[in-house]
This record gives sequence, C-alpha cells and structure tokens, in this order.
Amino acid sequence: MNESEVADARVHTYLSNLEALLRRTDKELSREFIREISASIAQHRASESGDPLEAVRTILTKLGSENSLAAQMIAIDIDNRRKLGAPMRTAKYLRRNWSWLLFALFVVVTVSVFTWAANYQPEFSNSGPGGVSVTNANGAPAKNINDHYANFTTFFPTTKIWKAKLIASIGVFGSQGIHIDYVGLHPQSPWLDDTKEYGLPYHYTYLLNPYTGKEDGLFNGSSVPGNGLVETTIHITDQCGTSPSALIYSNFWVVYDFHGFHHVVEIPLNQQFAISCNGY
Amino acid sequence: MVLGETDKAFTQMRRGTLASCVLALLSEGDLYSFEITKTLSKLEGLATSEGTIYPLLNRLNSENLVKSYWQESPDGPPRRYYRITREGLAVLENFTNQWNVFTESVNSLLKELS
Repeated sequence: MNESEVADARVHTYLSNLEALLRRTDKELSREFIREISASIAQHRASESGDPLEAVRTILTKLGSENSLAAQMIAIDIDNRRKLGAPMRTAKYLRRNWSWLLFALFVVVTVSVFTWAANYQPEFSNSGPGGVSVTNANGAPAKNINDHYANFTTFFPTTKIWKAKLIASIGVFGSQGIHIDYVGLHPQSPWLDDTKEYGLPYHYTYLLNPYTGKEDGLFNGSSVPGNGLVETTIHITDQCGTSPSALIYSNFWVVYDFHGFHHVVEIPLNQQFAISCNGY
Repeated sequence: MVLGETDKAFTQMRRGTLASCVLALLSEGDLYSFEITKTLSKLEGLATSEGTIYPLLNRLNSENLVKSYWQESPDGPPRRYYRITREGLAVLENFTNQWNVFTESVNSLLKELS
C-alpha cells in the first residue's frame, strides 16, 4: 500500500467514524456536513503538493477528532429539534419518512381490501318457484306425494335410473357484484368437469332465460351485479341401488368468486324433495 | 485575574465574535467553506481551526443566518457555498453597532490608563 492509499484509507476511516457518530442526527444535516468535510479534505489535499499522508494528517488535525466534530453537530441538531414545535417535528418526520409511510399505508389498504374480499358474502336467496320434477328413465313422471304443509315432496321412481330437474333462482343481495362459478345439488368443486358423464350420479346445470323460460345452454359461470339475479335449472341423473333408499334434497350449493376469493354457500331449496326407491 | 485567565478571556471573546466575523466576510459576497477558513486563518487574532468553522457554518445555516448551496468546481470536488440572508445581515448590523460602542469604550478607557 503506497502513501496515497494509506492517506485515502485514513480519510475513509475518519468519515466513516463521523457518519456513525452522527447516525441519530437529522439525516440532511449530517449528510451535508459529511459531504462538506469530505470536500474540504479533498480541497486541502489538492492544495498541498507535498507528501499526501502528511497533508491528510494536517487537515485531520485541524478538523479535530471525530468525537469533537460530532459533538458540535449533535448540539446543533438538539437545538434545531428544540426550536421546532411538535407539529413541525411531525411534518418533518412525515417528509423524511414519506416513502415508508406510503408503503405502510399501501400494506394496510391492501390487507384491508384482501380481508374484506376474502370475507365478503352477500345474502343469497332462492327466489324462484323452485318447481321440482322427477322422471323415470323413460321420461314418464315419477309418482309423488306432496306434503303441502311441510312444502316437501317425495318421488317414487319405478325405474332404476331416475332424473330430477329443479329451478334455482339465485338472488344476490349485496352492494358488490360477484361471479358465480357453480350451481348444483352437490357441494362439488366447479373445477371438476361435471358436464361429462363418467358415471352416476350425473349432474349439470343450465342457465335459464327468465323471459322465455327456456334453457340457454350449460351454465359455465356467470357474473351477477350487486342485487342481481341469475336463474338456473339443475339436472341430476342417479340410480336406485347405489344410494340409500331415500335421498333427501333440501339445499343446493353455489360457489362464487369475489376478487379471486372463492366462497361456497348452501342455499335452501324452495321445495325440498326426497327420492324413494322403495317402489323400484 | 492571573495571566492565563486573560488568554482564556480572549479565547472566549474570539469564539463569541467568530460567528459575526463569518457573517461580515459573507456580507461581501458568497464564499465556500474552505475559502472562509483560509481567510480567517490569515487574520491575526482570529486564526481558528477547521474543526470550529465547519460546525459554526452549519449552526449559522440552521439559524437561517446564512444559506448554503453546492456548486461544481473546475478543479476538485464540488464546493459548498454560503450566502448571508436578510436575517444574517440584520444580526451583523446589530453586532457592528454594539461592537463599535464596546470597543470605543474599552479603547478610551485603556488610553486613559496608559
């Protein structure tokens, strides 16, 4: 290491020590001061043509110890803080830390929005007539007994395979719109492809046109505005023997998406029904 | 008062007047810190170290008596220039008036004694 490098190292150490001693003072004050001292040392070195190490030694002696310089600057900083009132101190703190505060605000807002989105659940209702029809495999209507008081119907299919169809009118009561991904009689994930028949029970849902009363194709999800309505028809094909003798259906299931969060809700059927295989 | 205490008193007085001397220098025009130190070091009785001047300039800056700005230098690192403010000029004027009265009084007293 030559003399010039030793001199550089000594200056670097001096400035680093000074910076460390001033770490708690006002950032702008200490930054400007260290920059000024650094410039002054450089100017002094440039003006001295002799031994670089000696030049550094001279200017550092003139500047005094790092502790002594820092003590004077800390005293200035304390006086400045005293002079500033609480509102000014707060304003200064906000000015100096605005990026962190902005980041903290962003985090708080993001977490709040995510929490709200994760928990948002509008009121659901099944507002339609909820008419249920069950047919035998040949399409003939299955016999049924209707308990008007309990609004409960029991169907008695006479073939092993039976089919049921019901209308589900889903009213969404909430300020925000949602996207309904799945409607069905089973709490099945909409991500499973239930539109292809792999075996029984086989179920699928159609979108129902409320004006024409006709089915508008398979229900593949639908956006519903706040306080909106979507009408569907749920179809299920099952067979006696694979299930208990009486299957009771009292709810249907809706899976909806709200800002990337999936929610599953269970909605009561307007007309509950059971399938009794005793007659088969 | 012993002989050493006279020196101490002068040191105290120099420290007390140093800020005003810096303001007086700056009232002639903007100067950068290295220049201020050099100029003061040439004046007999006012010679002072960089270790005193730099914090002093920063204090004057904090008190809004001077304002600083950086300017590129054609030969070397950027320089921190200082400019006296209106408040600084008022303080300097006040000091000058009081100093004149004070020195005249002290001088006339010393003349009478001699």
